[in-house]
Amino acid sequence: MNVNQPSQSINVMINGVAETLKGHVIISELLILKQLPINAVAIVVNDEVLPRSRWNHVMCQHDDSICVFSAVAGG
Amino acid sequence: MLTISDHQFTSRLFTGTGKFSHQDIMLAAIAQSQSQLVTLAMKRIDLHANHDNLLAPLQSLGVKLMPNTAGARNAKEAIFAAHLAYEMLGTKWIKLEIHPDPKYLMPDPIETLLAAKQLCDDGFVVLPYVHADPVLCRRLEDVGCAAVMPLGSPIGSNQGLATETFLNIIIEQAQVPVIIDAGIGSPSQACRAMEMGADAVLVNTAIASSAQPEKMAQCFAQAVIAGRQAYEAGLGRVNRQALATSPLTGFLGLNV
Amino acid sequence: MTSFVDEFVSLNADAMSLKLYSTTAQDVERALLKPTGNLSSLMALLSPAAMAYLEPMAQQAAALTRQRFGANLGLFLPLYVSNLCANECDYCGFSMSNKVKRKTLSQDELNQEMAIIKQRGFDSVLLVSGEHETKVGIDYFAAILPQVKAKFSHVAMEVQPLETVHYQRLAKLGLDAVMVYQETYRPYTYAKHHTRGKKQDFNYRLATADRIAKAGIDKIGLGVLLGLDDWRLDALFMGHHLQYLEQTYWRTRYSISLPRLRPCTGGITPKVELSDAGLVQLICAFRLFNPQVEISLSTRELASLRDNLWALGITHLSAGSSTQPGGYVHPSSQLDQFEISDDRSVEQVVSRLKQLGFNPLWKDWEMAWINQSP
Repeated sequence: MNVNQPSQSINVMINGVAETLKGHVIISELLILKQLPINAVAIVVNDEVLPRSRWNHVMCQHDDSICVFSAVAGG
Repeated sequence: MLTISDHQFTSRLFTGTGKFSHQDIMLAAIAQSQSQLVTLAMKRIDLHANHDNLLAPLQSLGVKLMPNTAGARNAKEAIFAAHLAYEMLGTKWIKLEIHPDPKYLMPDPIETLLAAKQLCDDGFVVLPYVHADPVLCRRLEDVGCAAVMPLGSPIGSNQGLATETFLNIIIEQAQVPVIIDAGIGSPSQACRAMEMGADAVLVNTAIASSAQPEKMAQCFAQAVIAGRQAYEAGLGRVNRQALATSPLTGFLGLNV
Repeated sequence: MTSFVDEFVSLNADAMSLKLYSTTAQDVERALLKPTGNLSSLMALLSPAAMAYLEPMAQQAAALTRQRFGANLGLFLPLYVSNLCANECDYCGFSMSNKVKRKTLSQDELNQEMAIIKQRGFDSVLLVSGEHETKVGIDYFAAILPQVKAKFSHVAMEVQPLETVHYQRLAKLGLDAVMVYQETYRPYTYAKHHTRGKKQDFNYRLATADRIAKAGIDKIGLGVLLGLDDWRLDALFMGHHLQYLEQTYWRTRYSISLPRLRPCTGGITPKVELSDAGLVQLICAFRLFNPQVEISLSTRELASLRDNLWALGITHLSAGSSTQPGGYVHPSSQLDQFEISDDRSVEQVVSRLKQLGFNPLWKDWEMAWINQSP
């Protein structure tokens, strides 16, 4: 996590769709960027559930697969 | 008053949120049902759609939200879903639902028991959905589940209490609450489930697919109350065997 | 260790007794509609008011028993291995201060006893001893058990309460069942009748069934000595005990025994008389309360009475019993634990049972292919 490096584009997958991000975006900022709700969602990065407490600390890395889940009607 | 783990409920009707034609109808029906616990599924969010706020209106009804692991085909996926649910909603309550069979949605007993053990050990409040297998329910109780949820008949089939004989055994033997889930198709069936001594019922399809879901929800609410009160008042048995002619106690020489 | 003791201390005996004795006919009729697994119903069925309903109780109990057990009646024989005892219990012939000849079977004597029992056709034995931990303790039992198990398909034991590890050891050696009777569930009365020895420890004895279940033994037998205290209340407590055990240790099977206080050397008279009608009431009430519990009837009772009781809910019986160590080889010595009333031979009893329409069974089922370790 080196914030002094110049930004560079990275490629990630978000919910199965390829995306290019301008730099290592922090997860919580990614939600804002994509206009996704902050509450009542859960985030999985590279097949691991990312605890909410770490959303402000983890940055997206190149080739990350990020999935955002929400509660829906069902069952 | 129904106590499950650390929570108390005055309503013994739990509801699902699926299959409603419109979110407004779903919310109105749940309100009419007076349910205090609703189940929700989890899905990857659609990045391009408008995000209907599902949760805020539900929460304003004052209901407890219980995510389910529907979609999971095995224990590993269900455990993953449970952790997802915890991050999403901040609750350790989880309805464990593992059906690898897409046709009848029958629950997998082996994966369910495995997942239940792991999740109970991890501090989750596990409510497992299973077939009405008395031994399986005892095993789930032994590993620490907060309740058991045996099915009445296949999900969405509205076939009622096809497993009645076994539900009776489970109710007799269980030391945790028994919530009959799946297949309850009419208020009378829900009433019957409560008369048998079930602690609660979960109803989804019968309400959601009714022509008038709000009204149907109201009927279910009344049926569950009636059934429970009848159970508490003590039902009489209908048939009494006629006494045979040769007495078994005549030898005692008592003049009775 | 959690055990029934935790639940027992929360039971209010006085309140239970008051309620039992104020049972009305209406309560009994309601109980008859829903007797199974229902302790309130059991209380009503054990009450004096239920005595007016013996025939309907008997009809229902008999039908339930046929449904569950068919016409089968299991035969077993007690095999007394020792009458050494370190307890003082005033109702028992083996009480430590009773001047009776003390005996523990040697290897040879045990073999001879077993040979006779086998010859008579039995395949199920109940090993019985007094309670003498140092001279007839776990090592003695562990030594004889394999030999007994080699000759008999089903081996039960009725000896002093042991520790869980001991029961585990015996389970590995093939022990099928353990009987441990609380005698009375009234601590004050219990203390009056047990004046010396380890048996004085009420709670330790009360928690024994839990230890047996935790050791993974297949079957547990409960019992009260009817007459030490108020038999109705003692039976009700035993019902609570049975219910607790069945719910907690759901893989275990259960049996009950209803011995009435009998004359013995230096013995006592019952506190509350239990008539034959009362015994009928007990058998029927327990059968209605629990359709699957095994109910055992020993040779304490007269032949004529036993023949009238079979149908009501009995599942197991002994015949041609001896209640003294070495009594099968030498039948007429003075060492009896209690006096036997039905002194018919097993052939006579089997013949009578068949006449009455029952199916006397020597062997319940084949355990040979099951690994004995719990």
